[in-house]
Amino acid sequence: MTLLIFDAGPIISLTTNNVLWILEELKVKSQVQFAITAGVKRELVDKPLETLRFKFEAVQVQQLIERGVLQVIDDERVAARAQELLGLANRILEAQGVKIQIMQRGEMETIAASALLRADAIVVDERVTRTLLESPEQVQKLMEKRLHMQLKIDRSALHAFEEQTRHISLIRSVELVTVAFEKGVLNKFIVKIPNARRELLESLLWGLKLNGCSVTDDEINAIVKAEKL
Amino acid sequence: MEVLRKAAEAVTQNDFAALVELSNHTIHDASIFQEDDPLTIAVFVYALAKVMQRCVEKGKSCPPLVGGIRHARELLERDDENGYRAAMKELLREVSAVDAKMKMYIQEVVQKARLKKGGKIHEHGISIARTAELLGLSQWELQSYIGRMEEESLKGNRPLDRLQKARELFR
Repeated sequence: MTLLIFDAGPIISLTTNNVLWILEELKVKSQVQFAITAGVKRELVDKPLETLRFKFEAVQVQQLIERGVLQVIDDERVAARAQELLGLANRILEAQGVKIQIMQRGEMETIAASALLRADAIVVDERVTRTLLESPEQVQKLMEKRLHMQLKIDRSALHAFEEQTRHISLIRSVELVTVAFEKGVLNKFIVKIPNARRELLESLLWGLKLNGCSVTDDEINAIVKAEKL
Repeated sequence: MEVLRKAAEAVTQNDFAALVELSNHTIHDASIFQEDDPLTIAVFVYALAKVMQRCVEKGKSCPPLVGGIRHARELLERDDENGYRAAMKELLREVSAVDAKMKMYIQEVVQKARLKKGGKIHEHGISIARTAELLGLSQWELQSYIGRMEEESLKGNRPLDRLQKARELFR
């Protein structure tokens, strides 16, 4: 069975766009297994349940966990590997003699779980995590531009990080929702307006972008165009 | 210390634009060193700018904060970190004590300042989760805020390759 492990970001994007429910339909239609790590659950459910803001959103995620749509990976090996990867990632870039802490434990757990459990892909909306996995030099370039200074790169840390993560594939919530759209999961929202299918897909993708999925305008246009609606 | 000296100067001149600029500048250091104090200063200076702007626009006199800012700076010069932090806390309390409405406003401003500074730190290449952790924000609110910011395009994006990959996963 296909296994997809989610970072916190895409669950936030889906929930704040009121389309978290598509996961259950996709799971049934495609026999896919969805999971999050214990650290990601803490961020998505446990912490907001202690506050007033985003409490209902947390309840919605908890409901998916209780229904078995989202499995929670609570494994000491994941925590240990995450710590190791976090140490490497946060050693890669250096400015003014200081190693820049670019990543956090929770997001590293997603990568560690994927590496250990040989997941088919991870779902990540976050630009920095994604870029670090796919093209770490871009993170260096971006930071150098923003900080107006040259950064030192620790090649051995970068190499070790790449060695452990090179097999990981990733998608974002925009691709996930586009597939759900293609499979007819969102057909109940095709309303009586001109170009209804196109408008629906655009509205979904823009909603995800505005709620934090890192996707450019050009990418949205490319996806909509490729659907030939 | 230099930031506080410049902040006091800007407050004397009611120059809230200079305060915003100063806050943005502080974020550079905060992105690298990720210590509490530069972050606190960045959030405080930004919140102060917003409060001053509101006072100026409403024709109210701005709270007299120059003395407090100079005091905080002196404590920092003497390496009295605890005293400095207490002084910064007192400064925020003084701003919010201007009137009842201001108290509600300052809470909102401080929260917005955190989000705004979080957005800036993320722009510098720090992940959303790490940024949220640094500023004591939830990822839920920071991600929603960042989504509304203009994002710089990074080369190497492959939307259609990724879409194809997603199709294969859900065959």
